Amino acid sequence: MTDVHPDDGQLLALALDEADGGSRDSTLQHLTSCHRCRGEYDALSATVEQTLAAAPSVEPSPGFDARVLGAMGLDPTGPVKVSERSRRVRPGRHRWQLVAASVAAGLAVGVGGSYAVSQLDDTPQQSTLAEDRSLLETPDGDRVGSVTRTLMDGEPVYVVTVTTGPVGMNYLCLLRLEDGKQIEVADWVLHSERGETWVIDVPAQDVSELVMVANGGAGPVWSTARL
Amino acid sequence: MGVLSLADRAADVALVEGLAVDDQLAAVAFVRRFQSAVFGLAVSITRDTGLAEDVSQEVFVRAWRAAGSYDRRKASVLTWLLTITRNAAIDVVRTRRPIAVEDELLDALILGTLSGSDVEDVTLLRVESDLARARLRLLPPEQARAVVLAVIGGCTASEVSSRENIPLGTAKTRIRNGLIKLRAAMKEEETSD
Repeated sequence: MTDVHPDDGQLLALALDEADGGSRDSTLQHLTSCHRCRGEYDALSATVEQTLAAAPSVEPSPGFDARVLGAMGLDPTGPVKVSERSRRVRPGRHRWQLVAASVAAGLAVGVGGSYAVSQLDDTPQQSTLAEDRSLLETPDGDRVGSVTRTLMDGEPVYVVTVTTGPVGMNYLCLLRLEDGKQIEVADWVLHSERGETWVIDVPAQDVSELVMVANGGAGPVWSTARL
Repeated sequence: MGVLSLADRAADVALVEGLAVDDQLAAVAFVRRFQSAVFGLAVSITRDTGLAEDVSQEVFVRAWRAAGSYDRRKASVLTWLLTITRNAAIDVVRTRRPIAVEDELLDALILGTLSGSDVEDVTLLRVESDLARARLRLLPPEQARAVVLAVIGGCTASEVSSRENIPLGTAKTRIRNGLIKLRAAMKEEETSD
């Protein structure tokens, strides 16, 4: 056993997976033979792990489960089978290097209650999600995002995800109601070319369409989603 | 506040056991049951949904590979899976680029984590999440924020220091003291069960 015990900061860094190479190796070496430090580290590490469940649940994009099952070599729509694990394709870590465009989570500051993206219904049935999801399209028919109706804290919300659009543009978000009226629900700026996601409360009235109007509402209509 | 029922825990474990023997139905149920939790943590750390989906996919593949070695005595399935997620997400983010410490996104993360539950049905996931959030809300706000940033946001102590505009030593102290209090709360739950 090394004579010098790691300090609190070193144990914390190791438990949080932020220790650098040299410190990490020496601390791990020490822990193999020092029961006192090992106990303290195990307690910190277990606490970190058990706190992870507090993370907000967020529904991934449609088809995510199928992609995962495909990566496992399983066909989610195919017949139930028990296959040989060794026959499956197993992508390596280099898969991550291939990631290109992506969408960043964002924050909405709107009227009538809007939230940062973070807490979505984790209903496991994909078909249910698909039924509640509408495409956000430009007048030219380009798909620029989606609007999903889901639940947050038991209350219905629309999750508005913009996957592409002019950065820096200010959008006024309107909800058109079945009775022909419309209400302004939020005023957003797209900060990243990778897109953003916002959450807005579903009003009591029946809604027919969500409209994003460019230039803070001065127009033109940038995109719409039939709800 | 509910407790973790044996039936719920057994259901999750059964899915892992099915995954370990390549049962296709179990694999489908496993992914659909946990995908929101995994993706939620991945996006909290990466702050990038595209990258988070890639990380999440890798997490499920890792879990599938390791399903045979899952030990129910060490951790619940959710905790096991989220630990894999945190490691994978931090691994990717720290090798790709410095983590951006966007105020709005991290504020959103703190708000989302410390607020109420986010699922409708009464499941094991909901109970575990509720318990974890309830413990966090027991902490002094500055400690809760530091713990959320470090544990769920994947921020280093240095990034917490920068984000909270406090000295590095203070950031470390808040994180550590917060974790110690959380540990004490967990022990109290264990003794009261």
